[in-house]
Amino acid sequence: MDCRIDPSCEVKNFNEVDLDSGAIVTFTGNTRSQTKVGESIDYLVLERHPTLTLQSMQDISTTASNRFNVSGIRVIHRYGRIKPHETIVFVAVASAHRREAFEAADYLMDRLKTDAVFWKREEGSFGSRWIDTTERDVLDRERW
Amino acid sequence: MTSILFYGKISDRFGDTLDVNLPQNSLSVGELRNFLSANYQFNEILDLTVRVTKNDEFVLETEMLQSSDVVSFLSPFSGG
Repeated sequence: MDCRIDPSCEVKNFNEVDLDSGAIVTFTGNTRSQTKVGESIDYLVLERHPTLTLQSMQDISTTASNRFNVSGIRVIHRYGRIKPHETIVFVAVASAHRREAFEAADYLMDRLKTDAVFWKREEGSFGSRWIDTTERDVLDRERW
Repeated sequence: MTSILFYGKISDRFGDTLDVNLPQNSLSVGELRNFLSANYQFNEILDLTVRVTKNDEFVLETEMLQSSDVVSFLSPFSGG
């Protein structure tokens, strides 16, 4: 099954769901082609838990919905083996005004980067290497 | 025989699943860690940042486990 994310299609669909929103903010995250030290990556591999991963994403979305004055949220996240340059995550937020939409999207991504139940590995000629949450990700998460 | 599941880096040692014969019908999470460490030379399992779920619910070290429970060890999440 092809589970790739088509961001332009997702944006179009999201816009059609809530036509009365004054603001739509979307974020598209793509896989990089190199490690932090410049090695080429063949695949980014995301492992997930059969129940806790979806539950964690639902919890994050619910918290964002309660915290910010938004009218709609959509979060899509891939797992498995993902090639460089492919979209790995898509977030969309609808709100009456732009500030809430920007903040909610920012919040969602900071939480997804630290609290979503995934385990990441990068694969390449160097072998396979687990990726930990970065200090920057933790600091971003602590802003909220 | 009880199947113990591993997620993330902790799966490097035995893969996703390890089938074990527990020494008793009921033991705590802490006792299970010590059992795996002692009998499988699996010292990484003693790292308390590796969290444990019982039937998909996070549990404390004192939680008692039965052989019929689904027990998982989860390395710290990488996030998405």
